Amino acid sequence: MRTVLPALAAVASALTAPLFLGPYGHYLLCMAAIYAMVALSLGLLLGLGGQISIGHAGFWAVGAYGSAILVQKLALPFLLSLLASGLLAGLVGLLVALPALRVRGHYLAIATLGFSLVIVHILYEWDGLTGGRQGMFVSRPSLFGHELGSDFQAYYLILAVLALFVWIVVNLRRSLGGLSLSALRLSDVAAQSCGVNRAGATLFVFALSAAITGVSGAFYGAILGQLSTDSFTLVVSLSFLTMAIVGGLNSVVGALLGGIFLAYAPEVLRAFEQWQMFIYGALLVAFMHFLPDGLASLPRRLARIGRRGDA
Amino acid sequence: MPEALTVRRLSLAFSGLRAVDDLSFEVCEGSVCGLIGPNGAGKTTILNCLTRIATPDAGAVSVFGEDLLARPVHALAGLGVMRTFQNLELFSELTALDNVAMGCAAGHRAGWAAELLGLPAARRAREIAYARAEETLAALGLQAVGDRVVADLPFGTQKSVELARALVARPRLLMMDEPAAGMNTAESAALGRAIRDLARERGMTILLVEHDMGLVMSACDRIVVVVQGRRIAEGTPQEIRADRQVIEAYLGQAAA
Amino acid sequence: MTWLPLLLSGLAVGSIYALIGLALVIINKATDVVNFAQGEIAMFGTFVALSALNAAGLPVIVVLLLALPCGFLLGALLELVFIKPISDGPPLNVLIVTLGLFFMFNSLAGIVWGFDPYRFPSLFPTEPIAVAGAAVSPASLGIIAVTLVLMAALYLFFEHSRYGTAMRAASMNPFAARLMGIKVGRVATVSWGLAAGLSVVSGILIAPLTFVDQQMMISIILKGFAGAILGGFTSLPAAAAGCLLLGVTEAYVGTLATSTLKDSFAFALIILVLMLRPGGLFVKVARRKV
Repeated sequence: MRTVLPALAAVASALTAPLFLGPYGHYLLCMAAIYAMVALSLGLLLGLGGQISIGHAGFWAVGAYGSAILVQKLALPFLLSLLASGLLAGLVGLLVALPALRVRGHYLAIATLGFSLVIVHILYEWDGLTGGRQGMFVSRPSLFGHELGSDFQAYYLILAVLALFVWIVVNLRRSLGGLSLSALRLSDVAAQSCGVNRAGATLFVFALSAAITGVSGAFYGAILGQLSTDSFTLVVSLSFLTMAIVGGLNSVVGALLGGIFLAYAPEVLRAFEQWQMFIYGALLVAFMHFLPDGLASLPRRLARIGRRGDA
Repeated sequence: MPEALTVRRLSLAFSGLRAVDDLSFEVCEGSVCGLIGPNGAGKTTILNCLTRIATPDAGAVSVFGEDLLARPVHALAGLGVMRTFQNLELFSELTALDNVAMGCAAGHRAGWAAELLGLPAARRAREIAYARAEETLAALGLQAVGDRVVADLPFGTQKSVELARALVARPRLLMMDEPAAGMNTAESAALGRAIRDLARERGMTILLVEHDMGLVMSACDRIVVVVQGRRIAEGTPQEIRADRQVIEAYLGQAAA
Repeated sequence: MTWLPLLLSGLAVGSIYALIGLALVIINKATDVVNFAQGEIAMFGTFVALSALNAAGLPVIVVLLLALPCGFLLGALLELVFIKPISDGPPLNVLIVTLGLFFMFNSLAGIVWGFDPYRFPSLFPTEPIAVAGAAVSPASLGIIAVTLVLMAALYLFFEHSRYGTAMRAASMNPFAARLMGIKVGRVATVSWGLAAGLSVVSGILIAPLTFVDQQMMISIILKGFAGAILGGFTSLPAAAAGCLLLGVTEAYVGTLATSTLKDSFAFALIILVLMLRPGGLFVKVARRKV
């Protein structure tokens, strides 16, 4: 009951929230759900697999451009393009995982950063396909031939796909495969001695993480309506990492809260005008000092404080 | 009896230093073999070569007739080879039960796809692995610590959990790296009995790297003595006890 | 002799990378984290130096000499206030704190000094001098010279001073160092101070050649990080050599290609190097003992 009730409440509020909001509110909800997919994928890679990436904006770009190009140039239905962009980003993820087989930590951070810079550079230079400096327009998401013209409609499709990813990630975290990834993170020598194929598991977790981020990118392009390579910089990769850690790496709830944080923090901070980035930075520092396990650990912390109050 | 483990002319050098030097020996199936030698004799390096964590420069290793060096490190569990580590290699943030389940997880897994989709096969695999883990923990009297995070357990208990992680896979060949380190005499005697039982009752082959001479002499069928990566003697405990070279190697170390 | 000016300007840029790269390695040895705010500390320090020049009218050379001690105090203070309280937590959290500091410094500079670029007075003569028939910029020579002096000082400090040796011991084995009576906690503070001092010097060195603005160090910290990884992030000399190599390579590739292509090329090269030599060009990877 302890987890079922809050989960039901969360699902109910996610489903009914748009009814109380205007178009801009719908747009923000879409962005929160899109970011939550990325946070979920980073939780998988970093929280479960222990592999760092500061290049997820690269996978996001592959998904966004891949889907936009398939819809625009090959007239592929949006749902198929989602699938294709996930596969494409997953393949690129396999490529990026190759250095992860040899290096880790800071070295892997630089390698993933390098990959994303190169990927975005290629997209920028390939103007016949991507519009290069001018960027490109992207069609609205559609479902079985019906265009989802408003963000209100698109939100429910994004939410459905997010739910699918949540389900997949929860399944994985509960399985022996998830246990194997944890084991590999904590001692790769012992995990391999227990029969875990390190190369296979590393390639898998990178590809899955990249694929989820790719699908998220496909939604991002379609909701925004246009793409330029400015949306896929290092700062974006770093803000992904930030939201995943601020939300909490070790749970699905953390990923959802991280997505909400990244979508809404700039909105709330806008009122502070020139101080907004300063406050954003101070918020990050404060979160890490007072909520080291992320927003997801807030209820547990409050409960502990409450108990201390009672005693 | 057929050989469970055959080591032929194994050599490994680290930047010119010969850690393992033209080493050969074999271990019969169902027997307990001790690998002893003074500090720095290269025992752990030998074990690392035999478990594919280190790759030798030359030589051949076969396990139950299979060429070990042709296989990657993660294939060993499938061949029935498990090991424990000198300085403990537990999955520190996981519970004792998770750690032990990991010992037999690879053999039961239903594959990534089934796991992502939460198919019944994946769920069943998990249930079987955890049931076996609970059984193994109980057999070692550790059922009470199953849901504790291993990093919070005392050192001795951690060693038992690591042993349970190796045993849960029902290995045919078990390699143990200094299991008695930090134990008192009574504990090490109990460990010796447990090792003999594993060999006699379950037919398990055991390679034991150990400093505790009492344990080695009482538990092993045969003993290989290594000094500076070379085998200087091999035989039954009685033979080793009487071997001049062995006595000199140990006395020499004690005198130095 | 057309290769000489190009080599020197490459080495000068590489020297700037190296100062930042060394700062990153020093902090990483003490705190096990890449300090994303390193470049912003340098930028902020450069702004303060510029204000000191303009408002207090201090001579340029005095400002350059003051940069190291003032930067040291700033870095040490940051470590005490922001890093030490969470140093027992996950390293990733420390990483995010340095990102937070990045935003705070970056934004504070904009609020205090605005967003327009400022000109920084030259530290060295501007007239090119003739060396072996080639025109060489004194600024390049000056940057290289100051960097070499700092590197030599660092070498002497870490290899031959008591405290430097203690710091190396603390990063290799904190537990044993503590047993030997080294205050491991203070080592982190000193490391942050040292790193910040080096960074501020690098900012002041590069400022006359670029401009002083909020974004001046962003690409430089990336290159410093990349160069240090290229050489080997675990060793100060290897990291410095990697940064110098990156600077020189860029100078030669830069004559052939645009700047974004230059960046992509640099990173593609680094990935390739890491695949072949996972510990960096100048460092041998040691196997973990089990």
